[in-house]
Amino acid sequence: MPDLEQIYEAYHGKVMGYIRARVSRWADAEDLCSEVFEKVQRKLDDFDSSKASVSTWIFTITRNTVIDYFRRSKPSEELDENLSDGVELDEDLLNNETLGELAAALRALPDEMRDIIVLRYYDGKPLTEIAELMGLSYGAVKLRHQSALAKLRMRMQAPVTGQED
Amino acid sequence: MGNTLEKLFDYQRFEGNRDLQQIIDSVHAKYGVRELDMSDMETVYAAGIPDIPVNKKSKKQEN
Repeated sequence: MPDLEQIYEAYHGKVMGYIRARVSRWADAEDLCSEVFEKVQRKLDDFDSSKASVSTWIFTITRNTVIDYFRRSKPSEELDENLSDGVELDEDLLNNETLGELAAALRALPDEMRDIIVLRYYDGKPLTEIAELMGLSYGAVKLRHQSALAKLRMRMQAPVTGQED
Repeated sequence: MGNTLEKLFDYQRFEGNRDLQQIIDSVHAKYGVRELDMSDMETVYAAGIPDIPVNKKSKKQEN
């Protein structure tokens, strides 16, 4: 099990990069980064390497810290309990190898299908906006989206749970 | 599959796989898409994002 200093050296850049992708205020991002490593320090003794990798564990802490930040920023907003409790993903999938497999699967898709998947799931755009961006009808984008998901599912054979699109 | 993709693309922001980033960048360049900024994410997170359990394992198949 690595100590805190080793973890900080290995993951500070990734943690800060993830936070900076979401939080535009530099001071807030630095505070959140510190908060992440304070949590890591507090929870280090409880970490079970047989249940999750260090990378996945730190990613989860970072992600939840960012989510909490936005919850604090919008105290009047109520989170959808179904969504916040929602989908579980096998942590074994969260590794660089799986991201490489996703990249390979995306490269195997026709260009328009690949574009739809990136715009939908990386950028979070609705299909209507994607249709407008790509100069296609909503119906065409919807069909290609479904077809792309089917192709990716077959190629990646990902074990997942939860709601489908 | 959609949920898996959301998680993997979110993890990509942390892990920064080079091959996957090249694909994302090329799509963004093609359509002139910029990365999400804070105001966008406030909307996203206000809707709620599911937690990834650290100490649980689940290998259920999706429908």
